[in-house]
Amino acid sequence: MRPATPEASLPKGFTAPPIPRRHPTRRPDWLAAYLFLAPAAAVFAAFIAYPLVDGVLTSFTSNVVGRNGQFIGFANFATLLADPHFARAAMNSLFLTSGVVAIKLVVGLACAVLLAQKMPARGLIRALVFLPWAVPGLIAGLSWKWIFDEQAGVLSYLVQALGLTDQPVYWLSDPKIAMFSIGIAMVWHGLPFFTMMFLAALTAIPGDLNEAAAIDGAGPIRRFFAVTLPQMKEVIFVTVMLSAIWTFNSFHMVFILTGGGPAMRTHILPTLAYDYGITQSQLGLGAAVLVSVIPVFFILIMLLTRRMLASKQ
Amino acid sequence: MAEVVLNEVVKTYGDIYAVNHVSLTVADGEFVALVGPSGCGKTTTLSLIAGLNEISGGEIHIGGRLVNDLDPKDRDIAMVFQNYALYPNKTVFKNLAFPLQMRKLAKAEIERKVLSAAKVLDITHLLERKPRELSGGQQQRVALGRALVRDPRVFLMDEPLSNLDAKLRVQMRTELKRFHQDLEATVVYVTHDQLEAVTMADKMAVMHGGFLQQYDSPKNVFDNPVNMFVASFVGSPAMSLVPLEAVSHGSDVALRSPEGWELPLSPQNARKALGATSNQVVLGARHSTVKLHSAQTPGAVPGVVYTVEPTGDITFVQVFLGTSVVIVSLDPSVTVHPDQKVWIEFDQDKIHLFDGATELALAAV
Repeated sequence: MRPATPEASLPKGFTAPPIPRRHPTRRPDWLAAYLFLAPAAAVFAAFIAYPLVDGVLTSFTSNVVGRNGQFIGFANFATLLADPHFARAAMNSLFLTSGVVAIKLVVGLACAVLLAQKMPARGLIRALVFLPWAVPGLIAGLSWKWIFDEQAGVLSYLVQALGLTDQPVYWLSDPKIAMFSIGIAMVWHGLPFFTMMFLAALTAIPGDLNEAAAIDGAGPIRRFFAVTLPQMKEVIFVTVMLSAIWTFNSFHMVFILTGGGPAMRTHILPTLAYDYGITQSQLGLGAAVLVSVIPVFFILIMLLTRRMLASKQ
Repeated sequence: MAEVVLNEVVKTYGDIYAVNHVSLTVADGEFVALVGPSGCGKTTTLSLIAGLNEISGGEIHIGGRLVNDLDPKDRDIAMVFQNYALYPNKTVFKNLAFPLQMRKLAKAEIERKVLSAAKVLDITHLLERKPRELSGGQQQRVALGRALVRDPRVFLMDEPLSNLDAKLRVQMRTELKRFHQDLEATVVYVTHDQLEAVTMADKMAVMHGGFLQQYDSPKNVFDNPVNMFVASFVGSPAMSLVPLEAVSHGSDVALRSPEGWELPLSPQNARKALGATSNQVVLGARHSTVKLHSAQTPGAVPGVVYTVEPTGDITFVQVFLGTSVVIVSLDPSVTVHPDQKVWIEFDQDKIHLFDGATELALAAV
């Protein structure tokens, strides 16, 4: 770095060499920079910014499918505030997201620790554990719908074969059970992401830290909490935040398994929005459902990006 | 402090012997360097002593106790790692306190021991910092401190200086040596840098290919290398090795080069050369024992200067004798230039002779 006043730091009688000037006709750097950014900016504008703005605007209208309504201010939001289905869907979203993420966190951590051990056929076992992640959401949803089928499903068969009950279990049509069933399917599908992230983080911890702790007298459990977990802090935070956003937004599992039923008892906010906006044609109301959660996402994403940027430094 | 005894220690990975029947004794209070090139088994040997690696065969005793089946924490050792292995989420104080907490010492006792170790290592002002806020040299001291607070029977050190810059390394080398002298600690020290071993250790164990090649004081290893590997590994620049053929002329013996010149041997060296399993004999000479002549001299053999490397107080000259290179050290005032024809004179009392087939040093019979 050149000091602020070059001459001041030089011995007497010396002059600093001139700072090289840019050629005056040279095109400024920012022009090239914006040129390179343009394609990404165009895609962002067309597929993210425009739909978002349009969605927010729609939430203030009485638009229905096929016909534009009028600007009605916050009327849609007022409707939602008084709507028991909205309140239930919001609670469902909250409990489903927190429950599913918490289970994925604990089980994913355990899986990662197990998979990090030396064992025969480790590569094969890892591949099998990661397999659900490769299954498209739609296929996963349909498969679980079969598994949960009251008449022909394997789960009902197993429960009855084991003698746990002689009644059919209404996995998806009993509203008390359906949310749990949905949760199981979502954990199954999302667990590999947690395991992968945690396994990568585990492998990146320098081995000598654990060795040092072993020599210092820490047993395996103490080493896990004193050495391993603190080293994984950042990865755990990012994984949980990302997964919370994805799980909250996840539409397909609920849509396929219950469609929000029975009696709209298993709706989460994305499926409720679809139900209002598309099935019942009230576009404005459907949009309002989703716009109402934007502040929540805004906070989550702010936390996430701030943490990710901080850990880079 | 305690004595460490390795008895026929073996570590295998499948068919590969990482450590091959190594036996050595580190006396109480001794500083022993395990030295050798990468993959020679020195670090594996250290981790066997620490108990971080399971031993495949043989016995390890620390302070008269067989430790083969003991966990690292029960061996009463402390280890300093190459990358320091400081707990990144703990302050320096907590790093030092951790091994003591694990031993369930009282809080006041822990604080007293940490502070006294910090004082010894001059890191008292760093106690509240996290490792990432420290320089390499400071981290090194903290790592040493964490070993020190334990008051262990043996210090194990795995290349502790290799991550420091050259200047700091020399400085820390001096401090480590002083540390050893003040504590009268038993130290087993792994390094690939033979200079570190020579300057710090009471004894050095030269390893190669899993085998212990030679275990002796640095001076003896330097003066009497047992084989060509040790000869070429210890010393900087390395000992020059020239493969030759022993020929007899009546009762006289000489070494003949492929180029045709002959080097007559003294009677003692002649007896050594005749003890070889074949007539293939390798001549070894350290740079300081070789003389360079610019004109033909009786007893000197012809060569050609390849490079001249001035280092300030000594100039090293590499001379091609046929296809082998001999390194000669000269006073910087002497001028030689590349491609100059020169004559090299070996000191019969200081040359080393090795069996060309077995690579072992030849002894007078």
